[in-house]
Amino acid sequence: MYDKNVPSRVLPFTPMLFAGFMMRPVPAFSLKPIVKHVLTRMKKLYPEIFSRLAVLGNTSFLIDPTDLPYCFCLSVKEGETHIDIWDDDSDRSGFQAVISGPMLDLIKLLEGRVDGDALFFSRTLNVEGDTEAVLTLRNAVDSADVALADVIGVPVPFMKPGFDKLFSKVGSLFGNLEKDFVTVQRSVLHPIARHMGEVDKELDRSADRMRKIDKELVRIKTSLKKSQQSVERGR
Amino acid sequence: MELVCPAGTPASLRAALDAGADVVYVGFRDETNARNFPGLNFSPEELEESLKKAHDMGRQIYVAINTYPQAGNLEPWYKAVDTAARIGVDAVILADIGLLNYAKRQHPGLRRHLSVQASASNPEAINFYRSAFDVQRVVLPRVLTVREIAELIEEIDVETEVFAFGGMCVMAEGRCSLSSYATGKSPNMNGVCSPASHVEYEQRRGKLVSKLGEFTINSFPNEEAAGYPTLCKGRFVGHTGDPSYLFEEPTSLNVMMMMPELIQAGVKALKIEGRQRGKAYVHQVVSGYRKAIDAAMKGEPVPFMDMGNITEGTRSTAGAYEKNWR
Ligand code: SF4
Repeated sequence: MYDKNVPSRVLPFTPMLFAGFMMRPVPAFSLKPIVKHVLTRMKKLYPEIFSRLAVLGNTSFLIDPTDLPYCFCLSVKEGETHIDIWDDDSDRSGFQAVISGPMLDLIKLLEGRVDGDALFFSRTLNVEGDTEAVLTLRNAVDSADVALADVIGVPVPFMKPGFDKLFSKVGSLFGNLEKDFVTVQRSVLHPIARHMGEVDKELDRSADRMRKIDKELVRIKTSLKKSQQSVERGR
Repeated sequence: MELVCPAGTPASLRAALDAGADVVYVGFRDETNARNFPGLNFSPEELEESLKKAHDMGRQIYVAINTYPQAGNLEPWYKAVDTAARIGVDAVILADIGLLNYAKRQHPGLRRHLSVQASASNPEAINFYRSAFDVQRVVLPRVLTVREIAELIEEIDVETEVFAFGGMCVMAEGRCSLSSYATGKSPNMNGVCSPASHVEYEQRRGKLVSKLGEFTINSFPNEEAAGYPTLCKGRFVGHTGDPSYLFEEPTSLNVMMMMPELIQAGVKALKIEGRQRGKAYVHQVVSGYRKAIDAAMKGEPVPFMDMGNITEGTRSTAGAYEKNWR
């Protein structure tokens, strides 16, 4: 169902893409404990998500942050949720559903800061496979007020205010960087986009001309047929 | 003017209340409501808790039980009405005449609203529902112009609620067979149009292809905004050979700028569609509409608020309210 040889999306130009380049030497298995810790904390803090997921029975999702060299395997087995992290080039067969998009948007979705349908409409988020399972996951995650800062947690409770401040600083830094990246991308792509727009318009005009010629041909054929018939009748 | 907002989960309900909803409408987690999506909706316990929160804030909760009960299986619908009454919700939104009758008989003190699913759009129909089942409010189908709504209000003795924002359902509401045709499941009977279990998305040479059951219903080139996988918003191949939209393009309803006219027409409540949407959507739309209603009620100009990022196909329309095609 999921074919990694088919380019299903264009790599997004985001700060995470660059962070991803730097993280490439870090193998996925070394990140496993962090990812598992995040899931354990989430189960503790937001049990409502997992009770809504339990109806899925046995389903596995591939969650693919398109700007990072890793992907996550989220699976529900007999009502229990598990997570794993893989390198991007691992075998991706056997998933019921694939969700892919830029990492920051996936995080915003997790925290309920963006609407999943809106990301889908704007083509930022891509979904393949079992749509019902994806919807269940989306609705389950949206049913809780997830805060990543709480999920990651602080080593010592009295550090919490400082940690929260740091977390929101990092968040807004990434937010600003994201905007800057979009600006850079737009300015780089603008001349190409304008050129492509002209080409598109020319193609549309050609298609219009072709349609007119087609219609004209049909008209000529019909009138030819009619005159042939009247000649035959005249004989 | 009352602002009636959607919530598919308790978190969305909190978001709606925080953003200034006067009323939040919800459904139970089964086929008794028209947004029967997996992982969505409320258990009786969640509803009870949410109702307490809403009442503490001086707000209300309505429960939609607006699908049509199936012959020989009336129990889930009766049970939903009984549960809503027991919990003490502020109103139930019903469509089926049998269920309206049941609610009136069993729970005379429970306020009854007529769902859009009943598709009552003329004075005779609405006055009949009023006299037979004592409905207090009618949710009008999205097929009337503002002038028609104003004229209708003159002839009825029932409050009116109209859709202001959200997904468009272009058929005579509650009477669409497109989803049943393609999947065997309909919004009227099963509470789902284009059930997710029958929807599939595929990436084909850079295009997003959406399929419903056996049918390919749309194909979006890269960069083109996508829409819901409903047949009414599918692209069809007509005589010209080019696939194009036949019924409706992917777009959302947004009548924010028509607020003063709707107030003048005598509309009692504005409804936001989207119990299936996330809490970010709920928060953004409800905050926007709160500001707009407050401004319009004070006679001030309605501020322009861009909702493009959350609309279907990233476009919006005033739909039939300013019908200019007839
Ligand atoms: S197919 Fe379209 S018109 Fe019919 S019920 Fe679904 S959304 Fe409404």
